[in-house]
Amino acid sequence: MISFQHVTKTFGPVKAVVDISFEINHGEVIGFLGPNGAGKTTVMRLMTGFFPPTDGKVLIDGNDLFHANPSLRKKIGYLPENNPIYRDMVTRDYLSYVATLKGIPWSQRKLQIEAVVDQCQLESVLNRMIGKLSKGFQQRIGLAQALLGMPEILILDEPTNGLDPKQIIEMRNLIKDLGCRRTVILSTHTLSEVRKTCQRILILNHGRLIASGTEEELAKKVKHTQEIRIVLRGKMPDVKPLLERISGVSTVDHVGSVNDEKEYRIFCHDETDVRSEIARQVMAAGFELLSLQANQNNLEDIFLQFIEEKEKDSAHV
Amino acid sequence: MFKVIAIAGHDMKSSLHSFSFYLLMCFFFGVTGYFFWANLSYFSLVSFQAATNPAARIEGLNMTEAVLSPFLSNVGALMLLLVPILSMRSFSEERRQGTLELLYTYPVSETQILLGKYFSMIGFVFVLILPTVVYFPLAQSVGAKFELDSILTGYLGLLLIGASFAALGIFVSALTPNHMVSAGIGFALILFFWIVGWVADWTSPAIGKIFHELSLIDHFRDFSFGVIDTKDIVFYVLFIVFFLFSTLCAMEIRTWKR
Repeated sequence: MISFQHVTKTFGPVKAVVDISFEINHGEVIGFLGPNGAGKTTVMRLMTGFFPPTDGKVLIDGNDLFHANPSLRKKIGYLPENNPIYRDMVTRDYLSYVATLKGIPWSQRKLQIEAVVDQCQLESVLNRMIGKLSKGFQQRIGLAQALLGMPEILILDEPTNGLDPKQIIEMRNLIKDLGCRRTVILSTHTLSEVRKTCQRILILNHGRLIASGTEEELAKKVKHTQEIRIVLRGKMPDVKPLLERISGVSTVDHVGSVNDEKEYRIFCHDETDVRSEIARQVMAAGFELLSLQANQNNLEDIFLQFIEEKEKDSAHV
Repeated sequence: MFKVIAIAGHDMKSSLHSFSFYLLMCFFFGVTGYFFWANLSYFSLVSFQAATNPAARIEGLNMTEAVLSPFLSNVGALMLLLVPILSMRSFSEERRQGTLELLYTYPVSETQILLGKYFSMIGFVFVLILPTVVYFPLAQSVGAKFELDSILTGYLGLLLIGASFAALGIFVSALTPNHMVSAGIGFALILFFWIVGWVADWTSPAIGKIFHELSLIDHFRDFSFGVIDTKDIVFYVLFIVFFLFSTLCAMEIRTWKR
């Protein structure tokens, strides 16, 4: 289990992480979400024991990795941001070098290297120079080195950074597959990434943990979780007051008009389904209802709302 | 120990793959060959003059003093130039590439990382000076006779001075991710410890003694004449230990930034 207890990390005057506390249980797939500079990489580095926190405790199964015996780092497989890799090495030699550094016994080395090569589909590039491979292959080699030694915890810092859409899908599938057997922690600023791979999401902004939970739990925490877009045709100048009177509707925005067609965006509380009532009311008022589309609040909106709300709160303070 | 050997082997291999390393080797081999030939020719000229002109009265001049000692000093001076170039990549390159971050998160201690990198540098020094041994049998084939003890002692001195340069070079490399800065500062610091003894004669005896004791070349002189003094060995060992320890502290810098 990974436990952060009131962890703060500062670099000179810069507070990279401020009083963060959370726990990650064995077997969870966790996504750290936040804009660039939110403190995701610092959290990852603290987890790996790369540097100690300025304040608080980072414990992996009850051990402080930075101060504990280096052999305890065997529990962790780490793929840093931008995938640092020896570009002048041949894939096979590189994996063998990492296996030695991770202290994998000679008897198991060949088997383990074969296993990660198979898992990351690297057979075709085993004898090729890493620097001459595509970014997708390099990223998979980065993942393969993290997997060597069969670590219980896999920490991936922006694992799909710089990959093309096809490579992103392949990497996601690989991460999902890995999550079945171990704890996986990944950081990203791409929202679709966490939705597609993670069970629980932790949102970071300005070094603070501003929310955590599953996508559904987070959606419940924000206001206006349902958005309905309607397009009407009719002569009345403004239908806004009529729509706002409907019970369950919180705000209405006039998006635009083309000839006598008007488009509105209606924000509603999640608990009530107001679609049929909206249809009834606008038609009773003499409008033609050309389209009605309900959008569940997506993660992008949740993320932005959390960040905006927190920024408003801190501005008030 | 396997991890130390793996890191040392990896560092050596990655340099052996680069063309610039072979260029440096050729340069070193060529220039040291020239030094050896020049010293030997000079000695041959002086001994010819002494043989043909009894009034010249050149006493006590032998191969060790006239050829071996200046040759070894010249090789040492050339290493002063080349070792910082070899050591500049040691930590700087890994920091620049970001691979040092990965190394720190593997189950490897900082001491193992440092020793691996240092042993690879010792390997380079060894690879650099070993081919120069070939000059002695070549000279012997044309009639020059060297004492084997003096040669071995001289090369022990060269290895120690090379190991000291390497320790200092690695320390500087751990401070900066920039190769050129690492090589430049490394060269300047080694040069300082090389020439610090020169000012000893102009200062007060007490301070002069300190400068003499700090000078890398002053401790090398005895070795170049075929004399092993434990005081000199202790100096080099302490010099190496001091800079390796400083490198360990430099590796901790990432944890001090708070």
